[in-house]
Order: sequence, then C-alpha cells, then structure tokens
Amino acid sequence: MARIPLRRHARDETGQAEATPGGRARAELRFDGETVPCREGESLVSALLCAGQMMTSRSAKYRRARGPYCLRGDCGTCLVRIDGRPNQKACMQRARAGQQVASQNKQRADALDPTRLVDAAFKQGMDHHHFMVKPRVLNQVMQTVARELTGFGHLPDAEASAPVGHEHRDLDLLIVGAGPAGRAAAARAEAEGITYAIVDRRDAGALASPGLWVAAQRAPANVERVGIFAAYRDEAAPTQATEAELDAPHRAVRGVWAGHADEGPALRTYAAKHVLVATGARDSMLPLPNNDRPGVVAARGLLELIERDGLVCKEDSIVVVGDGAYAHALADRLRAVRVDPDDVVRIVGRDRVKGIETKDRKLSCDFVAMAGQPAPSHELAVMAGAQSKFDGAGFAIVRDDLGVCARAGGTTIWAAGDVCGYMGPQPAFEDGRRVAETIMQRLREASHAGHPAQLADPGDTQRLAAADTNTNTNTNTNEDER
Amino acid sequence: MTDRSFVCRCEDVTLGELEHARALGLERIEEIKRYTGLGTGPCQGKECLATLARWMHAKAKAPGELLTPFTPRPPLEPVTFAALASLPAHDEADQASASAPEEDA
Repeated sequence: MARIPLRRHARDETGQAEATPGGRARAELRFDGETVPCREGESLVSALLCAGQMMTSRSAKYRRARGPYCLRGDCGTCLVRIDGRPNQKACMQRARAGQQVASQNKQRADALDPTRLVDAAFKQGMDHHHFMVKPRVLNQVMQTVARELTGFGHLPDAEASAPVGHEHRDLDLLIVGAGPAGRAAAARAEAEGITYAIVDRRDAGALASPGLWVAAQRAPANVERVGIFAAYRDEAAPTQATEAELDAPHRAVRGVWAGHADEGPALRTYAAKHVLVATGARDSMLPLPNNDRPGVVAARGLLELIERDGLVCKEDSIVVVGDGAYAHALADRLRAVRVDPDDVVRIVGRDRVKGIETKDRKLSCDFVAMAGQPAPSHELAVMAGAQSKFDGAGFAIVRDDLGVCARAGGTTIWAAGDVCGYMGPQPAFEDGRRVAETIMQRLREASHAGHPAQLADPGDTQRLAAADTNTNTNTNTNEDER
Repeated sequence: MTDRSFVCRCEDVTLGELEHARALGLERIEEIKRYTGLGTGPCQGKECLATLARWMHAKAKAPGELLTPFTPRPPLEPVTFAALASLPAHDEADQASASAPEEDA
C-alpha cells in the first residue's frame, strides 16, 4: 500500500454529514480505473495526492515517472485525460463526482511497461540527433516507435458537445492577473468607476489561498476566470503612431487580447485603452539529480494547495530546497526542514520521492519542495511588445518610471508586481496601486480633454516618446526579424 | 534509475545534454533550444527557460545582456480549435469597429 503523503484535515474525516462545513460534498472519481475519494470542488491534484496517486505520465525520452510540480498551471507534467479529453492540467481542474481521469503516455499496468528500461539503457544520455540515424531502414523504424512514445495524449473520445461562443468587450482597462498587484489595481478602478475587467486563469478557491501574503487582501468578486492566451494587435494598427496620426480622426486602433474562459465555454476578446499585465512570477526548476520525481513540487504551490483544500501533511514529510528569504519563509510556513541547493547530492526514490540525500545526511520525505527565487511570467507582456531583461532569476519586464512597458496600436500596456522582478506579495500590491493611480489619471485627462484622443497632454506624448526610445528601440527591428 | 538533473522536464533535457550542446559551440538560448528541444514541450519554456538562463549565467558566464528569451508565441494557455473557430470572420469585425464611436483608444 503506497504511503499517503497528504490527508484532508482531520475535521473532515470525522464529519457525519455528507457535506463538510466548507460545503464540499464527499464524492468519488476514478483514476486509471481505481476509485479515488474526493470532495466536490477541491483541486483534482489534492484528490489524487490524498489517494497516493503521484504519477500522471512517463516522460518523452527517458520514460521516467512524472507528476504535478508547479501546482499553479505553468509546468507541463500534471497533464491527465479527463472524461475522454486529453491534456488537461490536473492542477487547474476541480474534482467532480464521477470524473474518469487517466494518466497519459504510460501503460496501465505500469510494471509491465517495457519502455521503462530506456532510462537504464541510456546512462550517458541520448543524443537524438545521432541516434539510429543509419542505416535508413533502422532510422525509419526508430522514428515510428519514437512518435508513439513521445506524443502527449490521444485524440478525444468525442467532439465537444457544446458550441463555444465568442464574447467581445471594449474596456477602459483590462487587468490580467488577480494576484496582489491586480487586486490593488482593481480596487482603484472600482473606486474610479471606469469600465474594466480583471481576469485570472485560477479559480476562486485558488485565489483565496493567501500563501506568503501575510496581509492578504481578498480577490474582488468580479474576477473572471479567463486564461489570456495571446495579445494580438489590430491588423491595421501602426506599431508607432506619429503625433499627426493620433490627432487625425481615424479608425479605432486597439490591441485585441484573446482569452479563453475555463468555465462556461467562451472565447473572449478584449479591446482596451489600457492593459495592466500583472501576471506575477513562477517557481522555476532547480537542476538537481532526480528533480523529476513525482513528489518534487514547487514549495509555494504546495503551500497554496494545502491552504486551499484544508490538507495536512505528515510530520517531516516535506523538505524545502532553496536559500534566501523566499525559501526560508516557505520552509517556515510548511513547517519543513530546509536544505541548501548546493548541499543536495541527489533526490532518492524510483517512481516517487522517498527522500533526499545531502552532503551530511539522508532525509526521508514525501515531497521535495523547490523554493528558488521566482522568475517573472513575462511571455504575455513580451508578446505585446515589451522588452525584458534577465534579473538573475528570470526575465523581468522593463518599464518606465510610471509603469508603461509597451504600446500596441492605440493601447498602452503597463506592468506591475512580480512580473517586473519578484518583489513579494505586499510590495506587489503597493506597486499595483501606484501604477493603477497613473492609469486613472490618464483616463481622467483623456475624458476631461473633451475629445477622445488618448494623449491629451503634449507633455504626456513627449514623456511616452522618450520612454519608447529608451525601452522599445528594438521593437520594430525584432518585428522585421520575425 | 539513472541519476539525472533535468532542466527541461517536458522534453527530458538534462544538465549533461546542456554541457554537450555547449561543447559543440552553442552559446545562445535560441540555439540551445533548437538543438536540445528545451522549451518546445507542453509548457513552452515556462518552467525551464529561467533555469537555462540561470545556468548559462552561472556556469557559462554568459553576461545578462546576451541572454534573450525565446519569442513567445500564442497560445500561452491551452485553447481548443472550437474556441478559435468561434471568432467572427474578419469582415464582420471590420464592420463592428467601423460603427463604434470614433476614439483614439
């Protein structure tokens, strides 16, 4: 019987009523044919971990076990098949009664999977550029086999039954991200009475976990669960409008931001005068021996999962790996031992974490929780035209003193919070408030000026032009190169 | 099980493979991505790009200015073809914005 690394809070287990105090009914789902007890509405990952199901797939090349890692929707290893649809991130799904969940890219009877031998067979690594290239026949056989093994998931059982509608919204302000910075901006926008939307791909339960935010502010009720997947410029929009073009009446030019709603299927597009990118930072991987084992997770993600679903860890079942204030804070909150990455010899365990060896001791544990300095989630802002700069942890968005990081057609794009470099939840909140203040000022100036030009103040134009020169000099060049 | 340190877990790219790529003379993030496949899996580099950059900065002594992230492409989140197919055709979109009040947004 596999050791169970997580349990739900003791309170739940002894409850006599079907529903728990939090209103979550007991239910059952199936994972790889086995019954998994769950609570309606908890994270699917919580249900799986509480049942000792740590593995969701085998990896592409070396066929090693993989399981959920980041627990926040960023990595690629919690993908499971749910109710006949492949490649769903378990960490972004809620457990529901009767769900049929299956692992991917592995044999059902795991012990009989012959491809497990690949890892031992290629001790020195496999260079796929030079592997079985000649003779040609062998190469063709190898490619056929490789295609079978390295794909992710199989086609869905059936076509989607419900048509997916499209909804477009025109806004003064779109706030992408409902973490600390986004929340501060939304509060400001609400007070100002402008037309705005705040979106986040996480659900209300995840947003309610305070994590490391000691003075956590609640997420506003109007957060829409939408995953923004692209920033598209209006096709006809010039990338840098001259002053004359802005003054002359012309067709509205806007950046169109496409999102995908996770609940109530709908494709959303947004056209906004201002977009605030508050997408935060994520926990990237620390390269340590056997860091791919199921049970290796991001420390912050684990903390938020535990808070979100009222989970309890056995004592000494978590070891946090990291140095610096961030790692110390997480080890503290998780009540876990902390080890320095430089002291780690290897992570131990075959199909899941059993322990971790350091230079001077061996610790047994169920979770190795990575706590490296978070790296900004820069992709959306860069896609919209922002510049980024390596900040030691990842790629931070470059912005001017006011918070502007790019312009896309007639839309001004701002950045606030951890996406500009990890600063922590409270500083991110204050940063969001500061940047939002300037956005409100801009909107007020534009409407007071009487005519609808975005840049009513010539001083404004000059300052933005200077900002453009400093931060966006490469924008056009990059466009050409692409 | 063989001890391996992964930088990209989606595509099974290990530290050993990065060393190999470096020994072949590949110095830029984009080159390493193309040779090893790092960053081309389901997460599209969300987990591993930063790790690679940190490694290059520390081990290969690559200065920060030379580190450029790969070009982010849509979609950043999983989205179905059904959803994309629900977008209005381009002429409909043109008509819609032509009738919208004139403003320099």
